[in-house]
Amino acid sequence: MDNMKFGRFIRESRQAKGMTQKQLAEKIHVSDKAVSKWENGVGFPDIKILEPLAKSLGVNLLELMQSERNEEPEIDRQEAEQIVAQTISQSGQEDEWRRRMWKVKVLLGACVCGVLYLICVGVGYLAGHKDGQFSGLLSGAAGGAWYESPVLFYVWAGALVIICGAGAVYLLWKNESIREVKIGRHKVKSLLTILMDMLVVFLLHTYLSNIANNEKQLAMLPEAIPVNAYVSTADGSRQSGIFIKDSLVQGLLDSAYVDRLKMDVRLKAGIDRVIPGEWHTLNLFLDGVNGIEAVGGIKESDVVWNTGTDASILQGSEAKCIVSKELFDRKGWKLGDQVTLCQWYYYRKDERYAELFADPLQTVEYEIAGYVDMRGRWNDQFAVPPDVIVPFHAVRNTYAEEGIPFFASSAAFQVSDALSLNAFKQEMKDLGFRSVVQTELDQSVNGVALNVNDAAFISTAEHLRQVIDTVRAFFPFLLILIVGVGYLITLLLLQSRKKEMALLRSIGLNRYQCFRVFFVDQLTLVITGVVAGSVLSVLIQGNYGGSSALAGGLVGICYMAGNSLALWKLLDVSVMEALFVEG
Amino acid sequence: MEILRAEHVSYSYQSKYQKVEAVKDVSCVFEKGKFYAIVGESGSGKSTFLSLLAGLDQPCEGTIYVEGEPLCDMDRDAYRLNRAAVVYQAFHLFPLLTAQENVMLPLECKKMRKKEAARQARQLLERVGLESRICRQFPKMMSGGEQQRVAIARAVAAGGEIILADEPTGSV
Repeated sequence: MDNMKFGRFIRESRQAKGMTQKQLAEKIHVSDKAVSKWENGVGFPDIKILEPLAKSLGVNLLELMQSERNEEPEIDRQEAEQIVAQTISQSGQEDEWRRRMWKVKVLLGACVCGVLYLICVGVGYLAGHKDGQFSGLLSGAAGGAWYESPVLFYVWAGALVIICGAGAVYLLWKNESIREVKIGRHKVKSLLTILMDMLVVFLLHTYLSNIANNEKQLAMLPEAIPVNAYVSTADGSRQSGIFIKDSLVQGLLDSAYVDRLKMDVRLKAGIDRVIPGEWHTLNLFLDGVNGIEAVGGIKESDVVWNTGTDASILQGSEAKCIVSKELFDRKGWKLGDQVTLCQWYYYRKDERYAELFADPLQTVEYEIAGYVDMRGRWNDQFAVPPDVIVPFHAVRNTYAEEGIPFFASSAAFQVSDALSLNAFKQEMKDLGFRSVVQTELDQSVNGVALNVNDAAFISTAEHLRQVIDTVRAFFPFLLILIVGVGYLITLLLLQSRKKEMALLRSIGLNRYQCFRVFFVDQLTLVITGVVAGSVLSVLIQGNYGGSSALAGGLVGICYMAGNSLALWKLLDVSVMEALFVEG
Repeated sequence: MEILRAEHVSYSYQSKYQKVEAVKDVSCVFEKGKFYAIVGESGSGKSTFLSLLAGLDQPCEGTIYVEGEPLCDMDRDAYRLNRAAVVYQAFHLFPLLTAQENVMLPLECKKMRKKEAARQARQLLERVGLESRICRQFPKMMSGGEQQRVAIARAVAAGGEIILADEPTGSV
């Protein structure tokens, strides 16, 4: 059955009845556009409409199916079957076409939504609106997860690029309208488009790599320039042999910003028994530390350890100790011996002054876990080296058991997340630490101030952040520039093909169909250029966290946007003028 | 029976700097199944009038009717695709398509399968007297007469009721 013949028959029958297309459409409850399509042979009505259509046109169903008036309606069974089979097949083909178009539309819709999402998230990320309204808008959809893990973002972006690619391939493959505007025969123009895309992808990749590189440097900065902090007196004059309250000690132990915390507590001690008044019996200096690094200048390898023990004993609270070699030799002890130490603690009667007193704390039996020769190694010039080193928490526990307020003698640490210095400082302020005021005269030995050596870190981080922000600020303009490049290059390269466009229009393709023909061609070239550009960028510059995929995707989208604008403009010409005046 | 009717049709080409009146107040009627020839001096607007009848543009004034319906109310793209084909004086073949591909073009626009379109195109080219070797040649390689024959075959391939030919035998 011939669509053209069918269309002509409907038109003639309609005109014979004196109806307009609109009147016929109203009668059979379809749009007048549909009637126009059938009459022009572009479409075929649904099989359910055939009967009311025949009635409205004043013909019988058979005449409509045969698309001709039949004076002798008698036909044999075989002929009737053939006509019906043809009609059903025709209607089925139309249905299939509609279904296919529906699929294409859904696919394109999904691609457009996905690409918009990608642009929003990508632009938000690159523009650096981490805490702005923009990210608030996205947080619901993207969640914090993608920002925490850029991998997730790139997996998402990769999936999207694949979907878009599949969509483009599907369009290319299923493009049932003409495929005759052959890009292969426009070799120079096609090659120029591909090369231009490659160049733009390469440049954008360089730009994105620069941002990624600086961000990487910023992330590595805490390791390159560690921020150290220590507790001191209010005027900053003393940092050891001070009194740091237990609440501050606990706060430091609990804080997530505190890393490699070194603390000690100093006591006096005597072996076996201390006789008040005979102070030579209280002649040992005992240091409770939470790690071997807290003992100035001593390394784990300097200690001669008893079998099966190591520096980890200092992190626990077991009654084990390390003694100085001099004491070890003098007393003739052996590793693993038990020694009884009478511990006395320092206190002040008035916290405003540095005057110290000592009182008994507890007598504890320690096992000798090792000995160390302090001579030549001790580097704390303000205090004498300890005779006995014990675990910090073991000493702290004895204070708690005796109900005596605990004070640590020194505390120093490294800030774990130096990029969140402000949050760290706020937490320390909430804990009760003050900033050092050097002009304030402090006669006490209260450990209340926190010294943070962050000047070098802050200046370097500020510099890097400024560089990143400045480079990022160009991002929206860069995207607009790519759209502009896509527009201009397409306009220039396709200028000489205006006549082809006019010819396609003259044959009967409408502006949209013409656009689609050239769009699919251009899309093929752009995808080729983008993929080649991405590969080239990775080969030459290396890949910075998927920035080549992002560069490729963004260039593809922006370039095609400019390209489409140019195509639409090129198609907006008078066919007459293009063929007769310019041609 | 009337198929085309022009009533007081005028058309002018207008640029930024000048206006050229190509067709001025033309009225005529064309009937189905007949051949018509329009004669005039060169530059008198024959090609322009023909293009207006083909629906390439709208007249500045007046109306063209196709079987009684105003062309301006119809879908002019569908009209060109299905009902009216043009053979241009300057041939206007696609320079980078072969003779066969040029003829296949209107058939493929109507969603005909490629194989079937190629078969019909070859038949048509044969009918206008072109050898099969011409099928694979590009317009540049053909003589003026051959190009014009391809243009005629392309117009016939469109299968419309109306063929508007602008000096179709000028080069044959």
